[in-house]
Amino acid sequence: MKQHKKTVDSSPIRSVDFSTVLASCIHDMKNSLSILLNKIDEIEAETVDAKNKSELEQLQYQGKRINNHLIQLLVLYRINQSQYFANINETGIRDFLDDALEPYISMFKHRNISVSIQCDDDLYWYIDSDLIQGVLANIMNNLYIYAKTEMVVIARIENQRFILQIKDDGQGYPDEMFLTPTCSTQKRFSFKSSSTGLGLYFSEIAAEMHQNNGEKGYITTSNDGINGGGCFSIVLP
Amino acid sequence: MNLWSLKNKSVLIVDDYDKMRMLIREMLMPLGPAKVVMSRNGKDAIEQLEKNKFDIVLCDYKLGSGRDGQQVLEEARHRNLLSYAAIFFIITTENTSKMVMGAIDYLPDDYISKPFTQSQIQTRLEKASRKKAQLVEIVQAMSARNFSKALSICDQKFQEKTYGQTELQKIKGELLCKLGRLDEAEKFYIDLLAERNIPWVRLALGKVYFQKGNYTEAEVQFESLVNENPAYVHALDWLADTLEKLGQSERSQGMLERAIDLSPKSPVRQRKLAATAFKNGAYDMAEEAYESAIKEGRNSCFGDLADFTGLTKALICQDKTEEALEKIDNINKDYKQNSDAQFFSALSKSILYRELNDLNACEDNLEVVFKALNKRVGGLDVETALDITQTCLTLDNQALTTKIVKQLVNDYSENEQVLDQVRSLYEKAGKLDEANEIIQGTREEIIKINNEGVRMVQDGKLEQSINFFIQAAKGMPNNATINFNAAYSMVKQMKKTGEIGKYFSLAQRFMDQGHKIDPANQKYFQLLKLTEDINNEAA
Repeated sequence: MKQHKKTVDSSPIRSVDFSTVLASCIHDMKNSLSILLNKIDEIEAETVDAKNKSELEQLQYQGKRINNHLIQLLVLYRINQSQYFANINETGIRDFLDDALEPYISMFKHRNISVSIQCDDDLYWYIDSDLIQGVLANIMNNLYIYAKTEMVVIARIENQRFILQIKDDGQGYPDEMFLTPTCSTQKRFSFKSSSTGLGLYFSEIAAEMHQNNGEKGYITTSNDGINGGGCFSIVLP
Repeated sequence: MNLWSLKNKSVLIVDDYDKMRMLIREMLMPLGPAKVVMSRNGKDAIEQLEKNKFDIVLCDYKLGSGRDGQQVLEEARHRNLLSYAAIFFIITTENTSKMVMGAIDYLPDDYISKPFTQSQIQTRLEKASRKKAQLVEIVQAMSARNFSKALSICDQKFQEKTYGQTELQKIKGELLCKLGRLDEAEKFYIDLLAERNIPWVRLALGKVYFQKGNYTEAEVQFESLVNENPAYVHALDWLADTLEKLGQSERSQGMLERAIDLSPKSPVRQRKLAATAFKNGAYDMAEEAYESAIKEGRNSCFGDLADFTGLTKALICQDKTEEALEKIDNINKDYKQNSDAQFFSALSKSILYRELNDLNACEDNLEVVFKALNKRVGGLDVETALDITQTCLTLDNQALTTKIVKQLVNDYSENEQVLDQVRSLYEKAGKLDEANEIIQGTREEIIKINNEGVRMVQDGKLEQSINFFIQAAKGMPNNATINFNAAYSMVKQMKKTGEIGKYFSLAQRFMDQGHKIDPANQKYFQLLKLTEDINNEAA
């Protein structure tokens, strides 16, 4: 039976559970961010001046980046503490993609990048929608910078696996960022060179949290995108 | 473009942050809702739900110090403050997986995480109402209590749509269980699991085994769930219940402790831990858990003053009698509005003085208990009745002992577990023969009463038998046979007259009560079939 321990604090400052501090801090930050982003939306809607408008878009973009990073940090922290468990449910992928991409569509429109979704209405798969949404948000934030004129999101089922691909017409991934299912983890992510390290790291962890019958999900990157642009794929069992 | 709107809909927004409340309201205004009400905390939200009928509730998960969003939802559903058609969203700031693991009955229609835009919330609301609309026929059949019909609609929908079936799968499994077709439910879930290991399916399968009384197999399912996902609170709850049934009280306590660590705000769970810990002799933990149950129960519909009696007993076992007296005094102070306060404070004191061997003070309080008992509405729970019995026996008060025990035995004459507890109390007082006499005598009386009623049914005097059994059930609300026979008389009468309005819901109330007391009793399922037939003929 578990004994009740009453530990006596030797220091005057009570130690608090860091994850609680982190979680409540992020809760607070996201509240502020919500207000901030919605205010920017409002101002942007009323703004006519093209230069002002484009500056406001920059603010929106940065806000979304912050938001996405906050989520990723929290999730990675929880996974590291063995506190995060995938919540995998049958999900209508079309609805999910519409929902997840919606905040980015107008952003891309302003930059004259077209976004198209190729996904059957009756495509359903078992995913942790929070994790996959994080993966998508990360890609979107990058493509906002790297895509030139178009990107396409493709979802399909192949050999009893769900494949989600995002292809763009940018310059493609640099060599050191190519990921195949078999390359070793150690050399995969360097956080020194660029911020995308965190995004890909998060994406890979998110993919691996999806398991079925002993099989794990994975991600790959290549330059099979539009006209040699980047192609990011996530494959889930 | 916006064909879908909030026209004629009333909306409740619950958030402790006033700017956020305003922001959400502004987002919804263009959709033209008929009414928008805002609440800053769970307590106020519940009051609003009591007063008004809402079509949509948007509730933040974190609501400051009182109830959280999940608790608001649970209370609203538990107390039927929300119609089935109503949509409940929980707004979150972080990942939802910890919350999503709730009981199926108490899941919100959706989670939406901050920050969200106007079009996002609109899309989500639209999607949720579309989903509700798809299931409307099934839900109607279910609320008319025609489960067979609901099941056949369900099967039909499976044929029409071969994807996105989770919702239908959940309902189908539940319907099979409601109809008592447990073997079919078992096979249904096993087939689903063969394709993919889905946690809710495994939980449901475990519940089927539990319902079948196959606790060993139930343990296997729940155990594997908590191994895969140690944060799955409801799997922990079910595993604890299963281990209790298997007589593994200490392991059961361990699971409850884990569940409490993850989700400490439920008074029901705290109470269960307290009772289990008490049984295991872990009195310090029992004390702590009863304290928490009292604290969390204060603002909840799941609060119960009987927790004070439990706390008193846990304190007595640790020789903390002065502290116990202090706690008991708090009952009258903190629960002035509660008509039960006097009853439970006197009950707790009578136990305390009994254990202190101050029999005069004990007797004084017992008198108050009996006075309050006469004024009390509703029956006594077993634990309370046994406490009173024990005190009466200690005081050697023949008249009061017989009074309370007869009532208890009357009500639980079919429940061997309760009867054994009565016997053991009498045995300790050296009066086992007396207990057996009371039990035997009461049983014979009940059989006589029952036979009399059944004779009326056989003689076709149905109105008479209905009244007879209703009266009998008032005297022994926890007797399954009496409840089933009351329902049966009404079913017979409805069949005879073809008029269902008068007795339909009443019959259901009695059969439900019987089912609650004795879930394995097949009479319930026979009655269910009969009421469904009546329903179909009427339609």
